[in-house]
Order: sequence, then structure tokens, then C-alpha cells
Amino acid sequence: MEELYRKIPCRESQLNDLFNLFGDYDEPLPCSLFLSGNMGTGKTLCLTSVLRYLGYKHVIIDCIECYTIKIICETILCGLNTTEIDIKCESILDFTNAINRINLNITQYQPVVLIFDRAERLRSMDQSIISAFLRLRELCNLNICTVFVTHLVYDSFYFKMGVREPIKIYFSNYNKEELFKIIFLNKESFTHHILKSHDVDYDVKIELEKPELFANFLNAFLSVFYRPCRDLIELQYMARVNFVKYCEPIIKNEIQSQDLSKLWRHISPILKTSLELLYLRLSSTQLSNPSPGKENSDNIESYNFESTLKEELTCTKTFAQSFELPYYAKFLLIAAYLASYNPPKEDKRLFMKNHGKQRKRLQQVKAKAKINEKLNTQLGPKVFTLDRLLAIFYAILEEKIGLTSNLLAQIATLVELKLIAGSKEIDLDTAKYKCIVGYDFISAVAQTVSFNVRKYLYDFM
Amino acid sequence: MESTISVSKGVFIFKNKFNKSKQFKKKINLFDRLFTKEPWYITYKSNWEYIETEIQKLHHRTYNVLLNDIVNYVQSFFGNYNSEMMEGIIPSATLLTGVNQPDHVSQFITLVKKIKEDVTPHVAIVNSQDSSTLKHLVENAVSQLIHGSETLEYDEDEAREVGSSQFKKIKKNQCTMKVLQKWYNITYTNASPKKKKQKYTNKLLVIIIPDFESFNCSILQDFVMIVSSYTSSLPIVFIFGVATSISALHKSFPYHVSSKLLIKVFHSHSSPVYMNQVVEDIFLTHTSPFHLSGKALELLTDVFLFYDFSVTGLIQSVKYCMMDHYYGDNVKSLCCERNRIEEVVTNLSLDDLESIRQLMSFRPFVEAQLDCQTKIGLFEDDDFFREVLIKEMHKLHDYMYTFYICVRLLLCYIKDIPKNLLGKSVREVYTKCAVESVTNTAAFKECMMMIKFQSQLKLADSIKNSLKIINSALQIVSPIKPLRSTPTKNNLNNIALNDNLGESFLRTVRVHLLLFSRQIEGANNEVTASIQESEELDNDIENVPGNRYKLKEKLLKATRTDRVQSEFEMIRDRFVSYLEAMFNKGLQPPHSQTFHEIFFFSDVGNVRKQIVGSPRGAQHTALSNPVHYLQCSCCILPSLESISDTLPDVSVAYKLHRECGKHINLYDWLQAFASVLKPDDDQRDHDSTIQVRFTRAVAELQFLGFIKSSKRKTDHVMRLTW
Repeated sequence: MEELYRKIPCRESQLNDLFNLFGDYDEPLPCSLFLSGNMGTGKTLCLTSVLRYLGYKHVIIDCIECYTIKIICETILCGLNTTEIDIKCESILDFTNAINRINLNITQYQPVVLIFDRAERLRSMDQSIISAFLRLRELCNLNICTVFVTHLVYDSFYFKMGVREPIKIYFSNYNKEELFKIIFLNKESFTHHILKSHDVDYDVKIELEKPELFANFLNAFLSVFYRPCRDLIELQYMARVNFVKYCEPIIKNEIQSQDLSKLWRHISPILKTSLELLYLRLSSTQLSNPSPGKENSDNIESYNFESTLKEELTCTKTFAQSFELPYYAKFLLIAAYLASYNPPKEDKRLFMKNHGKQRKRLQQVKAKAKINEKLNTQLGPKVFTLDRLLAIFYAILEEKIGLTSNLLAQIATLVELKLIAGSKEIDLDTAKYKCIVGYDFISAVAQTVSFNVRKYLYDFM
Repeated sequence: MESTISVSKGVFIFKNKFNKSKQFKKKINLFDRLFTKEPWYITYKSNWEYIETEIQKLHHRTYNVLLNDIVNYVQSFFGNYNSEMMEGIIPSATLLTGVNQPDHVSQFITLVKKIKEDVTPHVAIVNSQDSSTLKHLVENAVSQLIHGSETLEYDEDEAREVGSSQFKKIKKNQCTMKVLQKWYNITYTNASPKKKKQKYTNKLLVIIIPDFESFNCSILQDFVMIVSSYTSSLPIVFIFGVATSISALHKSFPYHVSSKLLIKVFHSHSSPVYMNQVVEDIFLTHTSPFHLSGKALELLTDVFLFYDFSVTGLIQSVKYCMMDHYYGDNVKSLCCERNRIEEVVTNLSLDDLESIRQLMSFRPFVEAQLDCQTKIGLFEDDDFFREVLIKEMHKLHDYMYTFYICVRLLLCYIKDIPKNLLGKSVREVYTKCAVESVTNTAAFKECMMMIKFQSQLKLADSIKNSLKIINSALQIVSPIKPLRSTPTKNNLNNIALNDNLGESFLRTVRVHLLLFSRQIEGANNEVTASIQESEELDNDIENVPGNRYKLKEKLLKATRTDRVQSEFEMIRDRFVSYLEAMFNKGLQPPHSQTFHEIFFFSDVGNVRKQIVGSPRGAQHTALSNPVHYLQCSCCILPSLESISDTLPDVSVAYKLHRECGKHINLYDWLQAFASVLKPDDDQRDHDSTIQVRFTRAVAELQFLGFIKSSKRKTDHVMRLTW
């Protein structure tokens, strides 16, 4: 048990709780448990290692995979009963019957634990399922316990009445010292990673394997990275990337491994640049998913990909210019943008040659001043109809072309490429669209066909 | 056209040909049966097959590198799959394909074929249409992985087939990842100890997602997560086809999903580049049996560049042009390979000969004949005509040979000239040359002017390039011929082009170019020497202070006297004038040639109508001017706007509705309708037949999508078109 505590640092209280709850072999299990905490806080790791240590029979169900109730039931039954191959189970009723039948085979008080990983997925299924699993003990004659592992708090599972409240265990985020401890645990894999990619002399190897070196690096690393990122997986990945760079001068014998200040001066600019990279990666991060127990997994993505991604994300312009679209499709896209970001009643003034003078009334001037605070371009796209799109398209296109099927097909293509969003329901009479690319993108596209977008935007009038 | 009595059928403006192309694909047997005896069909078929194989070859060449890269990448996960780095991470290749989706199909099919051959039999292609939910997606992928492989393994390995027989009958709705895992364990992990001769114990499972953008993001995310939880037991590799850019992948995958993927990006050719390649290598060569006139090519490339970027579409359009060219016309069977001309000409019937005589380009040819006897002979004596025809055909082939080479030569010289006057690719230059006699245009003259300013090095370079082109062309014609002919300086001054075109023309051009290149390389800039001398003089003057007047005078003199041309400059001038003469000869537009109609397709208007369909336009013509499709005598209108009671009801209603605004009052509309049908009947609106006819017309208009009922005003309908 000591080893368990050593292996999973900084989770003593949670491990204690789990041990107390699962207790001894012949005691009844708690009816249900509820484990919550952000991704990468060790929920599944704690749970599975405790159960493995106790030697309890347990089944892990990944709820993402279970798009039907059938899959859940069959997975559980397969996991419990390894002898039978062909198990069919369509509903909860079948399931309880089947599990009672299993009961005959195993002794009365053999503890059985069902773990529902990513339990938040259960919410989108039938309401009764999660309730049924919460009180599964009452439905069958087994010493069974259901454990829900999720990144949501209990309150966001909106249960109906009559639910038996599970016992809740919360996994808090790690703080800096804890992160240090955890990453430090894996130092062998880090040094191994370097040694694999570089061939080094024996004495340098010994230098590299010194734990002080890694500790120093980690201190430096966390001092930069701890503020923006608390995600263990991401931190581990970034640490791995940067440790290689940290060690490079030592391998090349440029800096002595004892010379801490020199090493720090060497690594701090590198850390800062990779901090930018971290932001870029995190820009697409939604902390909406726990990936418990996967702390040891690394994210390896080719450098090539990262650099191109960085390029593309930092510069919408180059991205848009590298975008290949047919000539008319570009104009259609511009027209869609104009239709989305201009108020329809201004169309006449913007796109017609002889639109007449606009009388400026005091009220209008005031209104305009008010609007200036919330420019259309900043308010997000508005919905427009197909007719309006085509009308604007013909207005901004100098040459006269017919309304051909190829042209109409292009609109569908743009929708497919997710540059324009089509309305969900298909209405033949009034198809509605929305342009979902930004101003930077459009101005870059317009530049390639030498068209001035600002001239036709109401905001810039 | 008896079948188009109903107006709604008027949409099929090109019914005959439309059916034809359709039949060609579906009922190929019927089509073959109908036309096998026709010479034009035989020629068409062989030519199209030729083009198709050429396209296949090109296809193969262009995709090969890319596909090999991908396959190697996929294969690299073969051995080291279980290394520690891969925990929970799915290796995936992302193929950036370019925006046009239809073209990708062939690309992915070849990819699948290649993977099946080289890596693993377990490949699944999952399209977005088949996977509207996660359930469908998983079932589809799994069943393809399981079943797709078994057909292959069946004849390969009977024993293993027995092992997996219990999975043979897996229904689609039973396919889950668990089943896949079990199946994989049985087929590979358990079977491998028994079968020692099996080379690889594990085979990869490849899942291809060709249209990434059209997928529902959340479904794909879930799918990736599921697969990632199985990576420890199943070696799965993803291949994504992304049309736009890699950031699309990132937009749709949040961090926790994308961190599960090991992504490597592959770029495929951009479609304009590929299109240029197809056009240049297949259609714009003398070996192509069928030629597009400048205008037709322009139309097709415009459709490509402006509308869809679809190479497949372009090829299909060319195919259509070819069908249109050949259809029902035996004369066009002359449009074949060179060595078959004699045979074809002898097979031509008298009628065919007559129709050849009626070709537009025949008249100038006859008029050019000075001898009266030959003129009469051309019309009267069929055998003589046949002989002339054969001769002319050969001449035409020679001409085309020279023409295409000259187009390439011209491009070689003007490609680096600023301002891009004649275009930068073969197809652009070709359209310019094919439309008019290019040597007479201002752009061409300007280009020649520019060449006159080019440096020695540059010029020598472009001559070398053009020589390369000629050499490669000549080698195609006569592969054994050794490159000889040491040009002597003697005939330098009497460079003249002889009359005949074709190979011999090319040979002379080659000799001349060799000469010029040697001269240009050898020529030293003598003027530079003289300049140096004068500089020395200048220095002398400058050394004497205060002698400004003398200096000024000297400079003035220098401007007045003509600059002495160096040897190089002289040669350059001569070279440019030679180029002009050469191109003038080689780049005569096709329509100046006799019988060019046989080889060059130029019916642009007709093709435009059919390739660039315009449904709204067709509908409008059908409704506003039914005569156009009905061809009846009763409906002929003095002007498009006028209405008569003889028109079909729907047409009358359509014309009336065009006069209204956004909302149309049904009663007013009925009144107007009735007054058209019965102008002098007072009780017309009570006439139930008229009411019924009106209702029907309105219903038809609604069906066609011109109006719809509005909820805001009960007795009004809304116009949907403007």
C-alpha cells in the first residue's frame, strides 16, 4: 500500500477515502460513488489502482463509446462474465435479469464495481438510465457498487426526484509543488527520451541522469509555465520538448551542468517562445473533458505541423491568400460577407449607382453615433437570403454573367467548406445563409481579386 | 421533339444529346450496338480510349509521389507500433486536397488501392453521407474493416477464413468497437502462433475520412476519442482528407481531441496546376487526336477557373465536346491517327465526300487553285479528290505538329518577359495563337521588342531551353536518329525557311537555333571595349579641371553619333527578326488551314449552352417565349412582352405575374388572366373554366417556385423571384 501512495503522490486524502469506502472484502460496498475533478487530476488512476490493489472485480465503461444503452449493458455483462461470448441485452430490464443470473455463478458477497468513465455523457441518454445505475444495488442481489467519473460537479447532473444521492469525492487541481512532484516522478522517461534521440558520452550521460539537473530545469520551467497552464498533460508535453533544448548545451559541452545561471540564461528565451506555442495550442482547448488516467500519455505532434499551425493562426492573411478558390466563388464569398455585415435597408445605397442623396436628420446622426459603439462588423454575422446574396453578387461583379447551375453549385461548395453556414432546415423557398469568416480573411481574399471591401461596408461609410 | 408538349419539359433544351451522354454511361451495350458500324463512332471510341489512357498515365504520374509518401508514412507504424510513445495516440495523415471535392474521389480510390496492395487489406473509407450519427459512423467503419478484408483473404488463406467464420455473418447493427477488437484478436493475435509462415503478425487498420469538412464535428470528435481508447489493442491509422487547410482540423477538434492525434500533413497538387498539366500534356499536343479551337478551350478553362476548379469536370466537358464533334458525322472519322488516313479516305462514301466539299475552308482552297482543270477535278473526280484529301490531311498533321511546337517555343521565349503580355502557360499562349494570327498582334510585337533588350546570358539560356523542346519533340518522331549536323558559319547569311512544315521545318529551325546559340555565346561585346577607351578619354578630360565645356561637347557628340553595335547586339537583332519570321510561319491560326473543321472543334455556342447549364434562364425562356421550345405556329409573338390567348395558361400567368410587385392580389391576377383569354366577355370572371384554368396555372407556378402563398395577406401570394 505504501508503494501505491508513493506512486500516486499528492492524492493521499482521496486514496484514503477510497480505501475506507471499499473497505474490507466481506463488507458491503457503498451503493454508488461520484468522482469529480478537472481533467488530468488522477481520478481514474486512483480508482483503478485502488481496485487493482484490492483485487476487486471491476468493469470500466467509457461512456463516449456507448451511444446506445445496449452497448453499456453488453459491455458490463461481457466484463463480468468472461466465459459467455454471445450476450444480447437490449434494455435495463434484460440487464438486471442477466446480472441476477450471473449472481448464481459468483459468491454472494464478492464485490463488483462498475466504473462509468466520462459519465457526463450519460446525461444525454434516457433519464432513467443514470437513476437505475445509481440504485443498481436495489435492483439486483449483488454486492455491487457503481462509480461515476466525470469532470462536472454533481449539481450539473439534473436528476429528477427520487435519486439516491451518491457519495461524492472531489479531486482538486494540483498546485505548483504537487505538479513538480508528479513530473519529477517521471524523470527517467525524460532522460531516456533525450538519450534515445542523441548519442552522448558516458560522463555526460551521468551528468544528465543526475536528478538535480532535472529538478533545476523543472523549477525554471514551472516558474514560466505555471501561470498560464495548469493542465498536467500539456505541461508534461511542454516539459519534454523543452528539456531536450535545456540539455543541448550540456551535450555539446558548451555549458557545464553545474552552471545554473548560464543554463537559465540559455533556456529562458526558449521557454518564452514555447510559451507562445502553448498559448496557440491552448487557444483550441476546451477544458470540457476529463482524460483521467492518461497522464502518462504524451502528445507528440510533428514540429512541421506545429510551425505551420502557428503560421496560420498568427496570420490570417497568409492563410487566406493561400486559400484556393475559383474566381466567382471568391466573389460569392465576398458578397456573402457583405450581406452578413450590412443592414439590408442600406443595400440600395451601397450597391446602386444612382441611389440619390440621403437626407441627414438629427435623429439619424445620433443613431449613427450610437451604432458606432457597436459596429456591425463586430456584432457578428446576420442571416441573409439567397436572393440577397445573388443580388449583391451581381452588383459587385463588373462583368455580366448568367445565373448558371455552376454558380449555384458554388454556393453549396462554400457551405460545405464551412465558409458560409447554411440554415439547418432545408427550405426551398427561402434558403438562409450566414457568412462565418472574419474581416481579415475577407479582405485578404478580396485583395487577390483586387476588390475593395471597405468601400462596400456600412461601418466604414 | 414531339415529347415536349408540356411546358415543364422545356427544361430539357438539349434532350437528344443529354440522353445520349447518359445512355453512354448506363446502356453502353445498346449504344455500342447502335453505332458500331458507323465509322465516326469507331474513330471516336478509339480516340477517347486513347485520351483516357493518357489521362490515367498522367494521373498515375502526378499522384504517385504523394501516394508513396502517404503509404510510407502509414507503413512506418508497422513495426514500431507498440513503442511507448504511442500510448493513446492515433497516428494520422492529413491530406490537403484543395477545394474541389469531386476530383478527390479518384485520388482516394487510388490511395485505397495502393494501401491494400502494399500495407494492409483492412481499409475503410467513411463518407460523411453515411455517418450522420456516431452509431452509423462506427458501424460503417467497423463493418468495412471486417468485411472488406474478408473478400480479399478468402482465396488467400482458407484456414484463417475458418477462424473468422463466426464473424462472417456480423450484421451491420452489431458492429461495434468491441466486436472489432474481438475479431482482430481472433484473426491476428490468436492465429499468428499457429501460422508461422505469416509474415506480419499484425496488420494495420486504416480508416480514411475523405471529406473532413462535411462531417459533424462532435461526431468525429467522439469517434476519435473512442478510437484513441482502443489504440493499445488495435493499430488504427487515420487518413483525413481536408479540402481547405490544416486549421480546419484544429477548428473542429478541441485540444483534448487533437492531442490524441499524431498529425502529419501532406499537400497534394493544387488543381490549377494539375489542370494545366492535363491540358498541356494531353490535349495541346500534336499526338492528341482531337483538338479544341482557341475559343472552345478558353470556354472550358474559364469554367474551370471561374466556377469550380474541377479537373474531372473539365475532362468530362472535353468528352462532351468530342461527342458533339463526332456525332453522326462520318467525315469526322478522318479525325484520326496519321497512319489511318488512307484507309479512312478510301472508305468514305460519296455523300461524305460531298459534305467535305461543303466545308467552309474548302472554298479558299479551291480558289487558290490556278489551274481550271484541277478546280473541276476537285468537284467532279472523286478519286482525284480523295488523293487531294489525303495530301491535305497529311499537310494538316504537319501543320499541327509545327503549330504546337511553335507555341511551346514562343512560350519559352516570352515566359520571363515582364507584363505577361501573351500569358504564362501553354494554354494561354495557345488560345492567343489559335484565335488569330499572333504575329500580327501588338502584344507579339512588343514581346519581340523586349527580347531585343535581353542580356546575352538570358538569351543563350532561352535558346538552350527551346532547343531542348525541339530535341525532345524530334526524338518522339524518330528515336534512333543521332543528333548530328555541325552547322558551318557559311550558311549563316542565307538563313531562310523553306516552305514545308512538319518535321523538316523543325529540323531546320533546330539547326538555325544551334547556330544562333553558338554565335551568341561566342559573341563578345566589342562595344564594351570601346566604352572603356572612351572612359579613359573621359578620365583625361576630368583630370583637367575647369574643362567643362569640352566635356559637355564630348557628351553631346556621344549622344548624336549612333551607338556602335557590338557583335552580340547585331546577332541579337538578326535573331529576333529570325524568330519573327519563324513564328510567322509556324503560328498561322488553325482556321486559316484547309479542312481545319475536321480536326478542330469550334462550336462554342452550342457547347456553352450545355456545359454551363442555366436552369433559371431556360425556365424564363420557356415561359415567356414558348415557341422557342414548342415550335408551334400559334404562339409566335411579335415581342417578348406581348401576351396572346393562344399561349399555354401557365405562360400567360407567368407573364402577368411579372408585372406585379412583391405581393400579388389573386383576384386582380385572375381578372387580368381572364381578360387575356376572353377580351370581350363581360361575365368572364364568373366563367368556371377560366377559374379552373387559372388555378391550375397558379399551382404550376407555385410548383416551379415562382410564387408562394403568404400568411400575412390571405388573398395574396408572394413573388419569390425578382
